[in-house]
Amino acid sequence: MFKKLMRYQFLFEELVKRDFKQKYKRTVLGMGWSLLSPLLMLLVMRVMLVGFFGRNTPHYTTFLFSGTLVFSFFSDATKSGMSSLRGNAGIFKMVTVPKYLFLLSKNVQTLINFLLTLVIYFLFAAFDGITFTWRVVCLVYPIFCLVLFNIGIGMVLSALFIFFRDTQYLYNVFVRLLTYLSAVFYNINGYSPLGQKLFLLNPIYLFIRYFRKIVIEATVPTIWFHLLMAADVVIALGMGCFMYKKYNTKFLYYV
Amino acid sequence: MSVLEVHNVSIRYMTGDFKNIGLKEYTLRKLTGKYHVDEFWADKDITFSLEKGDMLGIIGSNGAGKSTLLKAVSGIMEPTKGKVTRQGTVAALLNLGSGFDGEMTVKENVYLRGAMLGYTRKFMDETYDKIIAFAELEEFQDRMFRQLSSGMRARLAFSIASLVQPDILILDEVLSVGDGAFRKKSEAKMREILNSGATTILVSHGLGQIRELCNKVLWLEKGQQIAFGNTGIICDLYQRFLDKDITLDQARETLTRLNAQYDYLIVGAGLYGCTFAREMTDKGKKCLVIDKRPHLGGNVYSEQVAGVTVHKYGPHIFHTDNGDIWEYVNRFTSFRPYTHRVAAVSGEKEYSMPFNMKTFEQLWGVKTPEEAKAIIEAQRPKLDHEPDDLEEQALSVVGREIYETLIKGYTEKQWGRSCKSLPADIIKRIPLRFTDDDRYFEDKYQGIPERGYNGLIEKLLEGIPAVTSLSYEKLMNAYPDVAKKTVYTGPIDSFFGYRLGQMEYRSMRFETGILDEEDFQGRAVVNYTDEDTPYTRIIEHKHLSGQESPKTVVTREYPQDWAPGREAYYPVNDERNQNLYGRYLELAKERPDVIFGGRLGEYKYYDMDDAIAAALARAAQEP
Repeated sequence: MFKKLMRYQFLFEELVKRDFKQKYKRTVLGMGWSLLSPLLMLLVMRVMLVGFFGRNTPHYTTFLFSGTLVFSFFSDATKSGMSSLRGNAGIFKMVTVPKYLFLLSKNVQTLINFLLTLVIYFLFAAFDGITFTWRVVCLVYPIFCLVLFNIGIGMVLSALFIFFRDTQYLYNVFVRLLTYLSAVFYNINGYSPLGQKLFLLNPIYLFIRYFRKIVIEATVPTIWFHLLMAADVVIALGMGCFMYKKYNTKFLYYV
Repeated sequence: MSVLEVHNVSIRYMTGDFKNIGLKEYTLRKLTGKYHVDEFWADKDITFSLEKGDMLGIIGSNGAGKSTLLKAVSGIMEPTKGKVTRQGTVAALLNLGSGFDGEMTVKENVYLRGAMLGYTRKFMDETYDKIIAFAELEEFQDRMFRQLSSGMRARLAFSIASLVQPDILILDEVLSVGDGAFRKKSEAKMREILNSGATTILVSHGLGQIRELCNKVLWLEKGQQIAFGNTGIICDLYQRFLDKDITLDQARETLTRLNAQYDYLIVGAGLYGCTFAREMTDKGKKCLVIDKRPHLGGNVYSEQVAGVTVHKYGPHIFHTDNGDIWEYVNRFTSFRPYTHRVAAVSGEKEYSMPFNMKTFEQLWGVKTPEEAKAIIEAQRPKLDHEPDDLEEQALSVVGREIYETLIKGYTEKQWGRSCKSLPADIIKRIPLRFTDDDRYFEDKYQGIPERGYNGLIEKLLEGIPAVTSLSYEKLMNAYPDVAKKTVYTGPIDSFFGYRLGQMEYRSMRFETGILDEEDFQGRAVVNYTDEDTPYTRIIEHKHLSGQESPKTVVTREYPQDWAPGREAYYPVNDERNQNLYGRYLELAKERPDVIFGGRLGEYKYYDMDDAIAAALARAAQEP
């Protein structure tokens, strides 16, 4: 696979470039948009919700930003990943290329976006009175996991999207529901212990929680927490690879 | 080691309720049991292999599975069954128009396309300017791709793709694009790539292009492999299939025949060839008969025109004195008794033929043989030497008046030169009959086959594989070892590629017309012996076959020189040609596996009975 990637390096670079250009074509702010939009979202939520949820939550701005940061990365990466196969049908109908290149290229683009937002996140956190410890380095772990998780889910979605066009609509609805289920803007302390446990079943919540733990509470989650995340990643990637492996030769018939 | 091996490749497609139906419909149909998917095999059991430098053309009607096969060969698509093995890099130039991004600039698209085709960045940096220049898009480099016209897009796609240097090149109808000047340029470029030594596969609807470029051809129909092999024969069959001249099964049958092994290959399905084939087959040998014409029978072939059997290559009346031959042909057909009588027209007057008492009466009003003899005798010049030319020969036998009225014009038209320059021995014997016998042939047995000559040929070839519309050269190109021995009944000089020079033949042009009357001339043949009439004779076919019809079909015969592409009818047995023939015979000694026979193979005028007799004699010499 690594050898293959080397062989397709030039194509991969060009695809990433293209995906960037496609995303920001004919926009005044260009990449600024991808920073501006979560910031505006953050601003609105901060203003509207602080009086509501912020009373019992210290560093509510950082708390909220942690949620939107992770969640929009997940949602951007999977949504753009979903269309990566269908959108590149013209290419894989024409030349022999590993089909995951298209998905990876989309993920590179969303990852860069995420990293930029991450910088702003740190600025905001500092502004919010957070003191950073060495533990911030630990964030590499959830980011790494999230990238893999996104790729896994993106594979599943892009394959489904080839077979069913409604995947797009269903997934949009799902993502909206997930926003509310992932404790992006609220604290789960109010729920019963069982209810709080149930949140752990949501991988996105795990990622958000990790960020909050490190940044706001300056504590490293337990080893079990790490393993749970890793398991989620393995499951997502496993499903994705399974779909690609199984349907790799079938996609052609549907586009 | 083959560069490309395609082994039993099958590709299955699905049709029906699976594409673009959406999740709701999918679930509903699954639940109600209405979900229905048909599979069909776009390609079934395709097998072929290519060596380095081979150029394969894939032919077949729309939906034959050509493009699908290309996808499998190039690796874009996985075959459902079977295996494709490739040696080296593959470049497949398929759907070149797709995969561009309208919202990116031309330059960006060029790089992206280059990346898709497997070029390196370094290579693209070096050749980018060339690509743009070749596509003539210098002023458009920074424009959005969507702003390009379709012609410009095609040019750009071609320019990028044409830089490939793969070991295996796969092309789908991209041999040239654009218009006028660019078309020329792209064709030249394409040829350059094709000549670069890459193993190439191309799909083209231009059969001419495939004939010109490819040394191998794969014919697919509805996913089935009809044929794989040498270009010439398969393309011919395909063309005939397209023309609805033959069915697919017939094409297959033909290929099966050609793929077998034979003791004798008989080239030319005339009487000589067919008789020989019959004899050897009866001796237990395997024979294959081929003819370059679209039909069997050679010059005795007849066709139906307006309900009349028409002898396509001149009238053929079977006549022989040889009882054995008569018996032989009667094994294959019964004969309609027919006595051939010919009239000659010179000026306005009609004369009886051959020269008999009726002719003499028509000429001079004489009634007795003595009177006629006296007139002829008076007109004959007294020669003190052997006749030097045909004119002297004729004059010395029949006298001036008969010669000038009935011989000179006809003979000169027939041979295309003056009687003074024709050798005397062409008409050694000019019968003068001092009786009323006006039968054209005096042979004991005369007749026309009851079911026509086609029936005779059919019967002669019963159970013997025959292939029409196939020339010897084409067959040898594809199947040089099809038979141990060959009987060649075509012109001997053509067999040796005219390497000692061309021998001369006389040829004939026929003008056949349907007349809206029952009877045109009351007999089968009327000769036109004066020089002013451009044709030598008129044949009215119904009198040969005895058919009744409200219309009649007549043919005018115009003798002409033979030239390549025309049918050779008569050998011109003068000294030069005879010598040349002798030298070809010397050459023929180097080919003991080839028997030259028949009118053209032996450069000798054969009547039908003589041709059959010669074939029987030759076949008797064979083990």
